[in-house]
Amino acid sequence: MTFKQQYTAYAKWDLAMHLKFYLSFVLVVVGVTVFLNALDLGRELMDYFSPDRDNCITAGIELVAIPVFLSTYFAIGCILHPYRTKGDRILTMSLPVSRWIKLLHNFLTIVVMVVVTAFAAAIIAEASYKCLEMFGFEVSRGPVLSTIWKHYTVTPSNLGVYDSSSPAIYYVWNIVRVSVTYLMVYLVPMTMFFFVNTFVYRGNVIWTILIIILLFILLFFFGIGDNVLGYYSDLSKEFIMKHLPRTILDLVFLLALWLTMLIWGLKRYRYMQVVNRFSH
Amino acid sequence: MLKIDNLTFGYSRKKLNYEDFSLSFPKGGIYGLLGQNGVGKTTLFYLIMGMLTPKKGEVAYKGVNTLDAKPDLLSEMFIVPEEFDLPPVKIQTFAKHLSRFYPRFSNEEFLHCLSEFSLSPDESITKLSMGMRKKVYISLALATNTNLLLMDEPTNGLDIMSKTKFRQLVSSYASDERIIIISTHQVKEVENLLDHVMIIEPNRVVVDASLADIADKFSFAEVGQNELPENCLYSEPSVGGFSVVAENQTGNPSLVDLELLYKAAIMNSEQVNNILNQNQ
Repeated sequence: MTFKQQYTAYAKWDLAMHLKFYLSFVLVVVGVTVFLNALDLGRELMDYFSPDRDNCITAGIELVAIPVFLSTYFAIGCILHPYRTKGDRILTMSLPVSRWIKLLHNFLTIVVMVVVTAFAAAIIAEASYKCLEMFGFEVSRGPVLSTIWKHYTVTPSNLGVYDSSSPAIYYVWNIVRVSVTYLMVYLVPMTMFFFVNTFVYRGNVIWTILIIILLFILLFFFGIGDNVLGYYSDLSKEFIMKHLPRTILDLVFLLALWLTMLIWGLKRYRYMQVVNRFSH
Repeated sequence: MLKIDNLTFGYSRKKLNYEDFSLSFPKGGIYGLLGQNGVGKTTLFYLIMGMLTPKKGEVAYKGVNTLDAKPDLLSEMFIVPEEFDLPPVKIQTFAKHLSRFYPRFSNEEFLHCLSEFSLSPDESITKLSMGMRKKVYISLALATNTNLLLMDEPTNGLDIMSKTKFRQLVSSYASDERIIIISTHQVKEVENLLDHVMIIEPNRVVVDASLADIADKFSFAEVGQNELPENCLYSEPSVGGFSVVAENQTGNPSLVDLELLYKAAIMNSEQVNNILNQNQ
Protein backbone atom coordinates (compact mmCIF):
# COMPACT_ATOMS: atom_id res chain seq x y z
CA MET A 1 0.00 0.00 0.00
CA THR A 2 1.16 3.53 -0.64
CA PHE A 3 1.58 6.04 2.16
CA LYS A 4 -1.73 7.72 1.26
CA GLN A 5 -3.61 4.43 1.09
CA GLN A 6 -2.17 3.34 4.42
CA TYR A 7 -3.00 6.64 6.05
CA THR A 8 -6.55 6.69 4.69
CA ALA A 9 -7.18 3.12 5.77
CA TYR A 10 -5.76 3.78 9.21
CA ALA A 11 -7.71 7.03 9.69
CA LYS A 12 -10.96 5.39 8.64
CA TRP A 13 -10.20 2.50 10.91
CA ASP A 14 -9.41 4.79 13.83
CA LEU A 15 -12.57 6.83 13.40
CA ALA A 16 -14.73 3.76 13.10
CA MET A 17 -13.15 2.29 16.21
CA HIS A 18 -12.87 5.38 18.38
CA LEU A 19 -15.25 8.10 17.27
CA LYS A 20 -17.54 7.61 20.26
CA PHE A 21 -14.55 7.64 22.58
CA TYR A 22 -13.23 10.87 21.08
CA LEU A 23 -16.61 12.56 21.39
CA SER A 24 -17.08 11.43 24.97
CA PHE A 25 -13.55 12.61 25.70
CA VAL A 26 -14.35 16.11 24.47
CA LEU A 27 -17.59 16.13 26.43
CA VAL A 28 -15.83 15.04 29.62
CA VAL A 29 -13.16 17.72 29.29
CA VAL A 30 -15.74 20.40 28.58
CA GLY A 31 -17.84 19.13 31.48
CA VAL A 32 -14.91 19.23 33.89
CA THR A 33 -14.14 22.72 32.64
CA VAL A 34 -17.68 23.94 33.26
CA PHE A 35 -17.57 22.52 36.77
CA LEU A 36 -14.23 24.11 37.54
CA ASN A 37 -15.28 27.38 35.99
CA ALA A 38 -18.38 27.46 38.15
CA LEU A 39 -16.03 27.42 41.14
CA ASP A 40 -13.85 30.09 39.60
CA LEU A 41 -16.82 32.28 38.74
CA GLY A 42 -17.99 31.97 42.33
CA ARG A 43 -14.57 33.16 43.44
CA GLU A 44 -14.62 36.09 41.06
CA LEU A 45 -18.13 37.03 42.08
CA MET A 46 -16.97 37.14 45.69
CA ASP A 47 -14.25 39.53 44.58
CA TYR A 48 -16.78 41.58 42.71
CA PHE A 49 -18.73 42.17 45.84
CA SER A 50 -15.69 42.68 48.06
CA PRO A 51 -14.87 46.25 49.26
CA ASP A 52 -11.68 46.55 47.16
CA ARG A 53 -13.37 45.29 43.99
CA ASP A 54 -12.30 46.39 40.57
CA ASN A 55 -15.90 46.26 39.40
CA CYS A 56 -14.96 43.90 36.66
CA ILE A 57 -15.28 40.16 36.34
CA THR A 58 -12.29 38.64 34.61
CA ALA A 59 -13.39 35.12 35.23
CA GLY A 60 -13.76 32.73 32.42
CA ILE A 61 -10.14 32.46 31.40
CA GLU A 62 -10.01 28.93 32.74
CA LEU A 63 -12.73 28.11 30.29
CA VAL A 64 -10.16 28.40 27.57
CA ALA A 65 -6.93 27.62 29.35
CA ILE A 66 -8.00 24.52 31.24
CA PRO A 67 -9.42 22.60 28.30
CA VAL A 68 -6.42 23.40 26.20
CA PHE A 69 -4.06 22.06 28.82
CA LEU A 70 -6.27 19.21 29.91
CA SER A 71 -7.18 18.03 26.48
CA THR A 72 -3.62 18.22 25.30
CA TYR A 73 -2.47 16.17 28.21
CA PHE A 74 -5.28 13.67 28.12
CA ALA A 75 -5.17 13.36 24.38
CA ILE A 76 -1.48 12.56 24.48
CA GLY A 77 -2.03 10.28 27.42
CA CYS A 78 -4.99 8.57 25.87
CA ILE A 79 -3.83 8.13 22.35
CA LEU A 80 -0.12 7.58 22.68
CA HIS A 81 -0.02 6.13 26.15
CA PRO A 82 -2.27 3.86 28.10
CA TYR A 83 -5.91 4.85 27.88
CA ARG A 84 -7.03 2.39 25.36
CA THR A 85 -7.98 -1.01 26.59
CA LYS A 86 -5.61 -3.89 26.28
CA GLY A 87 -7.56 -5.54 23.48
CA ASP A 88 -7.91 -2.31 21.57
CA ARG A 89 -4.24 -1.62 21.94
CA ILE A 90 -3.26 -5.09 20.75
CA LEU A 91 -5.47 -4.81 17.70
CA THR A 92 -4.17 -1.34 16.84
CA MET A 93 -0.55 -2.30 17.35
CA SER A 94 -0.86 -5.40 15.22
CA LEU A 95 -2.40 -3.54 12.29
CA PRO A 96 -0.10 -3.66 9.30
CA VAL A 97 0.44 0.07 9.08
CA SER A 98 3.73 1.88 9.38
CA ARG A 99 4.49 3.12 12.89
CA TRP A 100 5.09 6.58 11.48
CA ILE A 101 1.63 6.70 10.00
CA LYS A 102 0.12 5.64 13.31
CA LEU A 103 2.13 8.33 15.10
CA LEU A 104 1.28 11.00 12.54
CA HIS A 105 -2.40 10.19 12.70
CA ASN A 106 -2.40 10.15 16.48
CA PHE A 107 -0.65 13.51 16.55
CA LEU A 108 -3.15 15.03 14.13
CA THR A 109 -5.98 13.58 16.21
CA ILE A 110 -4.55 15.29 19.28
CA VAL A 111 -4.37 18.60 17.46
CA VAL A 112 -7.94 18.30 16.21
CA MET A 113 -9.23 17.29 19.64
CA VAL A 114 -7.46 20.16 21.38
CA VAL A 115 -8.82 22.65 18.89
CA VAL A 116 -12.35 21.23 19.07
CA THR A 117 -12.26 21.20 22.87
CA ALA A 118 -10.86 24.72 23.06
CA PHE A 119 -13.54 26.00 20.70
CA ALA A 120 -16.27 24.24 22.65
CA ALA A 121 -14.90 25.80 25.82
CA ALA A 122 -14.63 29.23 24.20
CA ILE A 123 -18.27 29.03 23.17
CA ILE A 124 -19.22 28.14 26.73
CA ALA A 125 -17.07 31.03 27.97
CA GLU A 126 -18.87 33.42 25.68
CA ALA A 127 -22.22 32.07 26.84
CA SER A 128 -21.16 32.57 30.48
CA TYR A 129 -20.15 36.18 29.77
CA LYS A 130 -23.49 36.85 28.11
CA CYS A 131 -25.34 35.42 31.08
CA LEU A 132 -23.35 37.59 33.48
CA GLU A 133 -24.03 40.65 31.36
CA MET A 134 -27.70 39.82 31.31
CA PHE A 135 -27.62 39.98 35.08
CA GLY A 136 -26.04 43.41 34.89
CA PHE A 137 -22.41 42.59 35.63
CA GLU A 138 -19.57 44.37 33.92
CA VAL A 139 -17.47 41.69 32.27
CA SER A 140 -13.94 42.01 30.99
CA ARG A 141 -13.59 39.93 27.88
CA GLY A 142 -12.43 39.85 24.33
CA PRO A 143 -11.33 37.44 21.67
CA VAL A 144 -9.74 34.30 23.04
CA LEU A 145 -6.16 35.28 22.34
CA SER A 146 -6.43 38.79 23.75
CA THR A 147 -8.20 37.38 26.80
CA ILE A 148 -5.30 35.04 27.41
CA TRP A 149 -2.82 37.84 26.81
CA LYS A 150 -4.68 40.07 29.22
CA HIS A 151 -4.69 37.35 31.80
CA TYR A 152 -0.95 36.91 31.63
CA THR A 153 -0.23 40.62 31.75
CA VAL A 154 -2.57 41.77 34.44
CA THR A 155 -2.20 45.44 35.21
CA PRO A 156 -1.58 46.50 38.80
CA SER A 157 -5.00 48.06 38.98
CA ASN A 158 -6.58 44.69 38.43
CA LEU A 159 -5.21 43.45 41.70
CA GLY A 160 -5.34 46.76 43.41
CA VAL A 161 -3.07 45.77 46.25
CA TYR A 162 0.29 46.28 44.59
CA ASP A 163 2.44 49.31 44.76
CA SER A 164 2.72 50.35 41.12
CA SER A 165 5.75 52.54 41.65
CA SER A 166 7.98 49.88 40.09
CA PRO A 167 5.86 48.64 37.18
CA ALA A 168 8.67 46.73 35.44
CA ILE A 169 9.43 44.61 38.49
CA TYR A 170 5.73 44.20 39.06
CA TYR A 171 5.10 42.96 35.52
CA VAL A 172 7.95 40.47 35.70
CA TRP A 173 6.81 39.27 39.07
CA ASN A 174 3.25 38.95 37.91
CA ILE A 175 4.17 36.99 34.83
CA VAL A 176 6.33 34.66 36.91
CA ARG A 177 3.56 34.27 39.45
CA VAL A 178 0.89 33.46 36.92
CA SER A 179 3.20 31.15 35.01
CA VAL A 180 4.12 29.27 38.15
CA THR A 181 0.47 29.09 39.08
CA TYR A 182 -0.34 27.52 35.77
CA LEU A 183 2.59 25.19 35.99
CA MET A 184 1.43 24.04 39.39
CA VAL A 185 -2.21 23.87 38.46
CA TYR A 186 -1.69 21.97 35.24
CA LEU A 187 1.67 20.33 35.27
CA VAL A 188 1.64 18.90 38.76
CA PRO A 189 -1.62 17.02 38.31
CA MET A 190 -0.33 15.78 34.99
CA THR A 191 2.82 14.55 36.62
CA MET A 192 0.78 12.98 39.35
CA PHE A 193 -1.37 11.27 36.78
CA PHE A 194 1.71 9.78 35.15
CA PHE A 195 3.11 8.71 38.50
CA VAL A 196 -0.15 7.09 39.46
CA ASN A 197 -0.23 5.28 36.14
CA THR A 198 3.28 4.07 36.41
CA PHE A 199 3.61 3.21 40.06
CA VAL A 200 0.16 1.77 40.63
CA TYR A 201 0.61 -0.52 37.69
CA ARG A 202 4.00 -1.66 38.80
CA GLY A 203 2.63 -2.55 42.18
CA ASN A 204 4.45 0.17 44.07
CA VAL A 205 1.42 1.14 46.08
CA ILE A 206 3.47 2.74 48.86
CA TRP A 207 5.29 4.93 46.37
CA THR A 208 2.01 5.88 44.78
CA ILE A 209 0.49 6.92 48.09
CA LEU A 210 3.65 8.80 49.11
CA ILE A 211 3.73 10.69 45.85
CA ILE A 212 0.07 11.61 46.09
CA ILE A 213 0.51 12.84 49.68
CA LEU A 214 3.62 14.80 48.72
CA LEU A 215 1.87 16.44 45.81
CA PHE A 216 -1.14 17.33 47.92
CA ILE A 217 1.15 18.92 50.50
CA LEU A 218 2.79 20.90 47.70
CA LEU A 219 -0.61 21.92 46.45
CA PHE A 220 -1.71 23.00 49.88
CA PHE A 221 1.32 25.15 50.52
CA PHE A 222 1.31 26.50 47.05
CA GLY A 223 -2.37 27.36 47.22
CA ILE A 224 -1.79 29.37 50.36
CA GLY A 225 1.53 30.76 49.19
CA ASP A 226 0.10 31.85 45.89
CA ASN A 227 -2.68 33.71 47.58
CA VAL A 228 -0.44 35.33 50.15
CA LEU A 229 2.15 36.38 47.59
CA GLY A 230 -0.29 37.16 44.85
CA TYR A 231 -3.02 38.98 46.59
CA TYR A 232 -1.87 40.12 49.97
CA SER A 233 0.58 42.90 50.39
CA ASP A 234 -0.36 43.20 54.00
CA LEU A 235 -0.02 40.10 56.11
CA SER A 236 -2.00 41.53 58.99
CA LYS A 237 -4.57 39.33 60.60
CA GLU A 238 -7.44 41.53 59.45
CA PHE A 239 -6.27 41.45 55.85
CA ILE A 240 -5.84 37.70 55.83
CA MET A 241 -9.19 37.15 57.50
CA LYS A 242 -10.84 39.37 54.94
CA HIS A 243 -9.36 37.33 52.11
CA LEU A 244 -9.70 33.96 53.75
CA PRO A 245 -12.88 33.01 51.89
CA ARG A 246 -11.13 33.56 48.60
CA THR A 247 -8.13 31.54 49.71
CA ILE A 248 -10.39 28.70 50.72
CA LEU A 249 -12.20 28.86 47.40
CA ASP A 250 -8.85 28.82 45.62
CA LEU A 251 -7.92 25.69 47.47
CA VAL A 252 -11.28 24.09 46.73
CA PHE A 253 -10.77 24.96 43.09
CA LEU A 254 -7.33 23.39 43.00
CA LEU A 255 -8.36 20.38 45.05
CA ALA A 256 -11.33 19.78 42.78
CA LEU A 257 -9.03 19.84 39.80
CA TRP A 258 -6.59 17.51 41.44
CA LEU A 259 -9.22 15.11 42.71
CA THR A 260 -10.75 14.94 39.27
CA MET A 261 -7.35 13.98 37.92
CA LEU A 262 -6.77 11.47 40.67
CA ILE A 263 -10.15 9.79 40.36
CA TRP A 264 -9.78 9.64 36.63
CA GLY A 265 -6.31 8.22 37.01
CA LEU A 266 -7.37 5.55 39.45
CA LYS A 267 -10.42 4.66 37.40
CA ARG A 268 -8.16 3.97 34.49
CA TYR A 269 -6.03 1.68 36.63
CA ARG A 270 -7.97 -1.38 35.56
CA TYR A 271 -7.13 -0.75 31.93
CA MET A 272 -3.60 0.27 32.58
CA GLN A 273 -2.51 -2.88 34.30
CA VAL A 274 -1.63 -4.67 31.14
CA VAL A 275 -1.69 -1.88 28.63
CA ASN A 276 1.24 -0.21 30.29
CA ARG A 277 3.37 -3.20 29.51
CA PHE A 278 3.54 -1.98 25.98
CA SER A 279 5.10 1.25 27.02
CA HIS A 280 8.16 -0.51 28.43
CA MET B 1 9.51 -19.98 9.13
CA LEU B 2 9.18 -18.62 12.66
CA LYS B 3 12.22 -18.61 14.88
CA ILE B 4 12.69 -17.39 18.42
CA ASP B 5 16.36 -16.96 19.02
CA ASN B 6 18.05 -16.54 22.42
CA LEU B 7 15.23 -14.35 23.62
CA THR B 8 15.61 -12.56 26.93
CA PHE B 9 12.64 -10.64 28.24
CA GLY B 10 11.16 -9.54 31.54
CA TYR B 11 8.62 -6.95 32.60
CA SER B 12 10.93 -5.94 35.39
CA ARG B 13 14.70 -5.98 35.62
CA LYS B 14 14.68 -8.32 38.58
CA LYS B 15 12.44 -11.01 37.17
CA LEU B 16 12.96 -12.29 33.68
CA ASN B 17 10.22 -14.26 31.99
CA TYR B 18 12.55 -15.57 29.36
CA GLU B 19 16.31 -15.83 29.35
CA ASP B 20 18.13 -17.08 26.26
CA PHE B 21 14.95 -18.80 25.23
CA SER B 22 14.82 -20.42 21.82
CA LEU B 23 12.03 -22.11 19.95
CA SER B 24 11.31 -22.69 16.31
CA PHE B 25 8.30 -23.36 14.18
CA PRO B 26 9.98 -24.69 11.05
CA LYS B 27 6.91 -25.53 8.98
CA GLY B 28 3.22 -24.88 8.71
CA GLY B 29 0.76 -26.68 10.94
CA ILE B 30 -1.29 -26.28 14.06
CA TYR B 31 0.86 -25.90 17.14
CA GLY B 32 -0.46 -26.17 20.67
CA LEU B 33 1.34 -24.01 23.19
CA LEU B 34 0.71 -25.29 26.68
CA GLY B 35 2.02 -24.19 30.02
CA GLN B 36 0.99 -23.23 33.50
CA ASN B 37 -0.58 -19.90 34.39
CA GLY B 38 1.96 -17.12 34.37
CA VAL B 39 4.57 -19.09 32.48
CA GLY B 40 4.54 -16.45 29.75
CA LYS B 41 2.51 -17.86 26.88
CA THR B 42 0.68 -14.61 26.22
CA THR B 43 3.92 -12.70 26.63
CA LEU B 44 5.49 -14.98 24.05
CA PHE B 45 2.65 -14.15 21.67
CA TYR B 46 3.22 -10.43 22.16
CA LEU B 47 6.93 -10.94 21.59
CA ILE B 48 6.23 -12.87 18.42
CA MET B 49 3.97 -10.06 17.21
CA GLY B 50 6.72 -7.52 17.94
CA MET B 51 4.58 -5.74 20.52
CA LEU B 52 7.10 -6.16 23.29
CA THR B 53 10.76 -5.40 23.04
CA PRO B 54 13.08 -8.17 24.15
CA LYS B 55 16.15 -7.25 26.14
CA LYS B 56 18.15 -9.64 24.01
CA GLY B 57 17.61 -11.95 21.08
CA GLU B 58 14.96 -11.74 18.42
CA VAL B 59 11.89 -13.25 16.91
CA ALA B 60 12.15 -13.65 13.16
CA TYR B 61 9.35 -14.58 10.82
CA LYS B 62 10.50 -15.52 7.35
CA GLY B 63 13.89 -14.15 8.33
CA VAL B 64 12.63 -10.69 9.29
CA ASN B 65 12.72 -9.42 12.85
CA THR B 66 9.09 -8.95 13.89
CA LEU B 67 10.09 -6.05 16.14
CA ASP B 68 10.59 -3.94 13.01
CA ALA B 69 6.79 -4.05 12.60
CA LYS B 70 7.04 -3.70 8.86
CA PRO B 71 3.54 -3.41 7.37
CA ASP B 72 4.27 -6.13 4.82
CA LEU B 73 5.27 -8.52 7.57
CA LEU B 74 2.41 -7.54 9.87
CA SER B 75 -0.07 -8.20 7.08
CA GLU B 76 1.10 -11.82 7.29
CA MET B 77 0.37 -12.06 11.01
CA PHE B 78 -2.78 -11.93 13.09
CA ILE B 79 -3.41 -12.43 16.77
CA VAL B 80 -6.62 -13.36 18.54
CA PRO B 81 -5.94 -12.16 22.07
CA GLU B 82 -7.62 -13.62 25.10
CA GLU B 83 -9.01 -10.23 26.03
CA PHE B 84 -10.16 -8.03 23.23
CA ASP B 85 -12.38 -5.12 22.35
CA LEU B 86 -14.47 -4.65 19.30
CA PRO B 87 -15.86 -1.29 18.23
CA PRO B 88 -19.53 -0.40 18.54
CA VAL B 89 -20.31 -0.95 14.87
CA LYS B 90 -21.94 -3.60 12.73
CA ILE B 91 -19.92 -6.79 12.18
CA GLN B 92 -19.75 -6.16 8.45
CA THR B 93 -18.52 -2.58 8.94
CA PHE B 94 -15.77 -3.76 11.24
CA ALA B 95 -14.74 -6.43 8.75
CA LYS B 96 -14.73 -3.88 5.94
CA HIS B 97 -12.32 -1.61 7.81
CA LEU B 98 -10.08 -4.48 8.87
CA SER B 99 -10.00 -6.07 5.42
CA ARG B 100 -8.19 -3.03 3.98
CA PHE B 101 -5.05 -4.04 5.84
CA TYR B 102 -4.94 -7.69 4.87
CA PRO B 103 -4.46 -8.28 1.16
CA ARG B 104 -5.70 -11.87 1.28
CA PHE B 105 -8.79 -11.06 3.32
CA SER B 106 -11.71 -13.05 1.99
CA ASN B 107 -15.16 -11.70 2.63
CA GLU B 108 -16.61 -14.99 1.44
CA GLU B 109 -14.67 -16.93 4.04
CA PHE B 110 -15.64 -14.38 6.64
CA LEU B 111 -19.33 -14.79 5.86
CA HIS B 112 -18.90 -18.55 5.81
CA CYS B 113 -17.30 -18.54 9.26
CA LEU B 114 -19.99 -16.25 10.59
CA SER B 115 -22.75 -18.46 9.28
CA GLU B 116 -21.04 -21.52 10.76
CA PHE B 117 -21.17 -19.70 14.08
CA SER B 118 -24.82 -18.73 13.41
CA LEU B 119 -24.05 -15.02 13.25
CA SER B 120 -25.27 -12.44 10.78
CA PRO B 121 -22.93 -9.74 9.40
CA ASP B 122 -25.64 -7.15 9.94
CA GLU B 123 -25.66 -7.60 13.69
CA SER B 124 -24.32 -4.81 15.81
CA ILE B 125 -21.31 -5.83 17.85
CA THR B 126 -22.57 -4.00 20.94
CA LYS B 127 -25.54 -6.33 21.11
CA LEU B 128 -23.42 -9.48 21.07
CA SER B 129 -22.43 -11.52 24.10
CA MET B 130 -18.76 -12.07 24.91
CA GLY B 131 -18.78 -15.54 23.34
CA MET B 132 -20.42 -14.20 20.18
CA ARG B 133 -17.83 -11.44 19.94
CA LYS B 134 -15.14 -14.06 20.19
CA LYS B 135 -16.71 -15.90 17.28
CA VAL B 136 -16.61 -12.66 15.27
CA TYR B 137 -12.94 -12.21 16.13
CA ILE B 138 -12.11 -15.80 15.21
CA SER B 139 -14.02 -15.44 11.93
CA LEU B 140 -12.08 -12.29 11.13
CA ALA B 141 -8.80 -13.94 12.03
CA LEU B 142 -9.47 -16.88 9.73
CA ALA B 143 -10.72 -14.65 6.92
CA THR B 144 -7.52 -12.56 6.93
CA ASN B 145 -5.75 -15.63 5.55
CA THR B 146 -2.53 -14.66 7.22
CA ASN B 147 0.22 -17.22 7.27
CA LEU B 148 0.90 -16.76 10.95
CA LEU B 149 -2.10 -16.91 13.22
CA LEU B 150 -1.78 -16.75 16.98
CA MET B 151 -4.78 -17.63 19.12
CA ASP B 152 -4.73 -17.10 22.85
CA GLU B 153 -7.32 -19.24 24.62
CA PRO B 154 -9.61 -19.17 21.59
CA THR B 155 -12.19 -21.57 22.99
CA ASN B 156 -12.76 -19.65 26.21
CA GLY B 157 -16.32 -18.43 26.28
CA LEU B 158 -17.49 -20.57 23.36
CA ASP B 159 -20.42 -22.91 23.80
CA ILE B 160 -20.07 -26.64 23.10
CA MET B 161 -21.38 -26.47 19.54
CA SER B 162 -19.22 -23.50 18.74
CA LYS B 163 -16.13 -25.30 20.01
CA THR B 164 -16.82 -28.07 17.52
CA LYS B 165 -17.32 -25.49 14.77
CA PHE B 166 -14.11 -23.80 15.82
CA ARG B 167 -12.16 -27.04 15.44
CA GLN B 168 -13.68 -27.68 12.03
CA LEU B 169 -12.95 -24.19 10.79
CA VAL B 170 -9.39 -24.09 12.06
CA SER B 171 -8.57 -27.51 10.62
CA SER B 172 -9.94 -26.44 7.25
CA TYR B 173 -7.88 -23.26 7.44
CA ALA B 174 -4.63 -25.11 8.15
CA SER B 175 -2.11 -25.66 5.41
CA ASP B 176 1.57 -26.39 4.96
CA GLU B 177 2.28 -22.69 4.61
CA ARG B 178 0.36 -21.52 7.63
CA ILE B 179 1.52 -21.61 11.17
CA ILE B 180 -1.33 -21.58 13.64
CA ILE B 181 -0.31 -21.41 17.27
CA ILE B 182 -3.02 -22.03 19.83
CA SER B 183 -2.31 -21.28 23.44
CA THR B 184 -4.80 -22.94 25.73
CA HIS B 185 -5.48 -24.59 29.03
CA GLN B 186 -8.42 -26.47 27.56
CA VAL B 187 -6.26 -29.16 26.02
CA LYS B 188 -9.14 -31.60 25.60
CA GLU B 189 -10.83 -29.12 23.31
CA VAL B 190 -7.99 -28.89 20.85
CA GLU B 191 -6.08 -32.15 21.13
CA ASN B 192 -7.60 -33.59 17.97
CA LEU B 193 -6.72 -30.42 16.14
CA LEU B 194 -3.03 -30.13 16.87
CA ASP B 195 -0.15 -31.33 14.72
CA HIS B 196 2.52 -30.33 17.17
CA VAL B 197 2.67 -29.77 20.92
CA MET B 198 4.89 -27.42 22.85
CA ILE B 199 4.81 -27.42 26.62
CA ILE B 200 6.76 -24.65 28.24
CA GLU B 201 7.86 -24.17 31.80
CA PRO B 202 9.43 -20.98 33.07
CA ASN B 203 12.22 -20.26 30.62
CA ARG B 204 12.41 -23.70 29.06
CA VAL B 205 10.66 -25.95 26.65
CA VAL B 206 9.69 -29.27 28.19
CA VAL B 207 7.99 -30.80 25.20
CA ASP B 208 8.45 -29.83 21.58
CA ALA B 209 7.18 -32.70 19.50
CA SER B 210 4.73 -33.61 16.83
CA LEU B 211 1.62 -35.48 17.89
CA ALA B 212 2.78 -38.42 15.81
CA ASP B 213 6.04 -38.50 17.75
CA ILE B 214 4.21 -38.32 21.03
CA ALA B 215 1.91 -41.15 19.99
CA ASP B 216 4.96 -43.24 19.10
CA LYS B 217 6.95 -42.55 22.24
CA PHE B 218 4.31 -42.51 24.95
CA SER B 219 1.48 -44.79 25.81
CA PHE B 220 -1.69 -43.55 27.39
CA ALA B 221 -3.91 -46.10 29.03
CA GLU B 222 -6.47 -46.91 31.66
CA VAL B 223 -5.19 -49.63 33.99
CA GLY B 224 -6.55 -51.51 36.98
CA GLN B 225 -5.70 -50.80 40.58
CA ASN B 226 -2.65 -53.07 40.68
CA GLU B 227 -1.51 -52.73 37.10
CA LEU B 228 0.58 -49.56 37.21
CA PRO B 229 3.44 -50.04 34.72
CA GLU B 230 7.03 -49.79 35.97
CA ASN B 231 7.93 -47.10 33.50
CA CYS B 232 4.93 -44.98 34.49
CA LEU B 233 5.64 -41.28 34.13
CA TYR B 234 2.41 -40.06 35.60
CA SER B 235 -0.76 -41.61 36.91
CA GLU B 236 -3.99 -40.39 38.38
CA PRO B 237 -7.00 -42.19 39.79
CA SER B 238 -9.82 -42.82 37.36
CA VAL B 239 -13.14 -44.65 37.58
CA GLY B 240 -11.82 -48.17 37.06
CA GLY B 241 -8.29 -47.71 38.38
CA PHE B 242 -5.69 -45.33 37.00
CA SER B 243 -5.11 -43.23 33.94
CA VAL B 244 -1.43 -43.54 33.13
CA VAL B 245 1.14 -42.21 30.77
CA ALA B 246 4.29 -44.23 30.28
CA GLU B 247 7.06 -44.75 27.78
CA ASN B 248 5.67 -46.59 24.80
CA GLN B 249 7.57 -49.83 24.47
CA THR B 250 5.07 -51.66 22.30
CA GLY B 251 6.09 -50.00 19.06
CA ASN B 252 2.44 -49.27 18.27
CA PRO B 253 1.29 -45.66 18.35
CA SER B 254 -0.98 -44.81 21.21
CA LEU B 255 -4.01 -42.55 21.29
CA VAL B 256 -2.66 -39.33 22.78
CA ASP B 257 -4.22 -37.88 25.89
CA LEU B 258 -2.76 -34.38 25.98
CA GLU B 259 -3.96 -33.64 29.46
CA LEU B 260 -2.08 -36.63 30.82
CA LEU B 261 1.00 -35.77 28.79
CA TYR B 262 0.87 -32.22 30.10
CA LYS B 263 0.69 -33.41 33.70
CA ALA B 264 3.51 -35.87 33.12
CA ALA B 265 5.61 -33.14 31.55
CA ILE B 266 5.06 -30.80 34.44
CA MET B 267 5.61 -33.44 37.14
CA ASN B 268 8.34 -35.40 35.46
CA SER B 269 9.87 -33.08 32.93
CA GLU B 270 13.37 -34.63 32.80
CA GLN B 271 12.16 -38.10 31.95
CA VAL B 272 9.61 -36.87 29.44
CA ASN B 273 12.31 -34.84 27.76
CA ASN B 274 14.73 -37.77 27.69
CA ILE B 275 12.17 -40.03 26.08
CA LEU B 276 11.38 -37.43 23.45
CA ASN B 277 15.03 -36.88 22.68
CA GLN B 278 15.75 -40.59 22.19
CA ASN B 279 16.54 -41.55 18.60
CA GLN B 280 16.36 -37.97 17.41
